[in-house]
This record gives sequence, structure tokens and C-alpha cells, in this order.
Amino acid sequence: MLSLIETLTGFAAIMLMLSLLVKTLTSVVKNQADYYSDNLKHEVQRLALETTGKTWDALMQNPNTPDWARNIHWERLGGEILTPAYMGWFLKQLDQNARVFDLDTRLKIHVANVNYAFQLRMKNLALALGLGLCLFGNINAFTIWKSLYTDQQLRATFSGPYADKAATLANAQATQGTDPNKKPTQDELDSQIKSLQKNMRSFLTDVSFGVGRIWRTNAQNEAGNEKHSAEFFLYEFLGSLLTGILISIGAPYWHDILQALAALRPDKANA
Amino acid sequence: MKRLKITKLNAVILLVAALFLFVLPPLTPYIDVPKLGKIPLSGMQMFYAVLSLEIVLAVYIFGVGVLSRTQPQPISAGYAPQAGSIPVATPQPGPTAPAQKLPVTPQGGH
Repeated sequence: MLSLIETLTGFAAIMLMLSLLVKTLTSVVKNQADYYSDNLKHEVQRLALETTGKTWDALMQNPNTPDWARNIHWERLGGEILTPAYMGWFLKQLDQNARVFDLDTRLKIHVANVNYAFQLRMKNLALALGLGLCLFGNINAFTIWKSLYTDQQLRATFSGPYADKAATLANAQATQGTDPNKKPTQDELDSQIKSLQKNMRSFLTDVSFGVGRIWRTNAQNEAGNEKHSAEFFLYEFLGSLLTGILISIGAPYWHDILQALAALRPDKANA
Repeated sequence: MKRLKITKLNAVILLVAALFLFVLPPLTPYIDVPKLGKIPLSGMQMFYAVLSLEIVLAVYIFGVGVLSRTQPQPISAGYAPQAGSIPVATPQPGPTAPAQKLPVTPQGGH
């Protein structure tokens, strides 16, 4: 029973560490691609159509439209522009006949749309990156579980010091803000990439088992004949796919499981 | 019409993905990349790599990228608001404006 709890704790710690890696990777990609402004621009254009009855292109072709409206850098803007006072003024600048009453209620719906689309895209991005990391790195949850369950020393390491290290890292990352409106500076981006590289190297050093077996040149020979080779590839593929899905559930989920399992450990329970 | 286009597009994507998946691995030993030489992967490794790449690309394209439902679509003049959004604004009658009387529609008898 104790070995099962230790295996579960070690497994949760590894999944938490991978989830944190994917979280950082998602944040790096998000900051480079800027998915928020796409949806923000779209919602402002929808609001303009609803209040003026004209499409964005028609409004931009109007000679009365100010030049600055044609040259808006959407990537520099955040949700702070979606306030009734600012949007009322903005829509009046686009069209004097814009019907800007009841903007408060309308904007709440548009802000909700922007946030919903952004969050959904971030979840899908995390899933894509998680799957990419596990499939290309061939990080196999089955092999990790088997190694932890059969190796007592490994189990003790991963359910003890490694679990504490993962929990500390998760707590540190949880305190950092994740405001989608906040545009990071170049220095912040650089430090984020450095942190990702450091954590990735650290993970690969700590968890050397169950990683990258498929890319070894003798991967096929390990299993013998062709039938076994196909089984080996299927096993590695399904294991990596499952790991990708598991780590995409999210770091908070694994952190909660780790906390619950750590409380069951005899040394913690007696304390 | 839009639905038909998307279905055709999906079919084409599926066909190309299947083509890559089953044609590329057997050709691996014969592929010679300029300046890099031959690809040091076996047929099964290549199959795994292509399948992984296709899964990741599919999740990205359909979840985040151009074919995602959260990807903003171009707004045209005949644009219909999405379900759950509010209709195009119309001026409300002021408090002094006389209330319009709705025409009485004849109800069918039983």
C-alpha cells in the first residue's frame, strides 16, 4: 500500500513538473504570437458594426474617419480600451451617427467573448504543446509508472525530495501574475526562455527513464522481430499520447493531487 | 455553403495527412536532404515522427489556428451576430414619445 502511495506521489510530481514546463512554454508562445489582440480587434469591429450599421472596411474608407483610426496597433492594446467612456468616444470618432447608448451592457458581452475565446485558445495551445513535447520527446507515462513501481530507490527519491521541489516550483509560479493584458518586456521574455531551458534540462537530468527510447538507433532491435517492433512503437506512441493529455489537464490539478498524496505519507501524517 | 466548403477542406486535409503518413516512411532511406545527407531514421521512426507531427498540427490548426472556431472571421455587411450576442442597436423611444399600439392579430378559434 505504501509503495503504491509513493509511486502515485512520484508520478504526480513528475506530471506536475511537466505541466509547469508546458505552462511556461505556452506563455512563451503566447507572448510571441499575441493571440489576445486578434479577438480584441474582432470584437471592436463587431461593436462598430452593431452601433454604426457599417462594416469596419466601410468605416475606414470614409474620408471623415481620423487617420489614427486606420493605423491602430492592436497588438499593443489590451482589454482596458473596452470601457463605455472610451468606446463611446471612439465610435463617435468613427461615425457621428453611431448609436452609443447602452454601451455598458454591450461591452460586458464583448469583453466576455474576448476572454472566452482567449482562454479556449490558450487551453488548446497548451494541449498542442503538451502533446508535442511528449510525442517528440517520447515521454512515456507507462514507462515512468513502471520504473517508479519497480525501483524502490527511484520511488523514494521522486516521492520525497523531488515532490517537494516540484511543489515549491508550482507555488513560485502560482504567485506570478498571468494577466493576458500585460505585455512583457524583452528582458522578461528572455528570462522566461532561459527559465524554460533551465527547467527542461533539469527535468531531463532528473527523469532520464522513459524518455526518448524511440529515437535510439537500436529501438527496433530492442524488441527483436518486426511484430514486436510494431508493438514497441504502439506502446511508446500510446504512452506518449496519454502523457501529453495528462499534463495538459493543468499544473493546479497535479499540485492538488500531490498535496493530498503528500499528506498520506507516514512522515507527514505523524508530523 | 460555408459548411460544405469546410467539409471539403477537412477531406483534403485528411487525404494529404494520410498520404504523408503512408508514403513518406517507406521512402525514408531514399530521401537525401541537400547538405544534411540521408535521414538517420528507420521507417517506423519516420512513421512515428510524421504521425506525431500531424496530431500536434491538427490540434493547433483546429484549436488555435486558422480553422479554430475561436479564430475571428472576417465581418461582412451581411454579418449575423453569433448566438448569445446582442442584436444591432436600435434607438429606444423616449419617455415622452407616445407608445406605439401593437396591431391586434386575430387569434384562431378552437
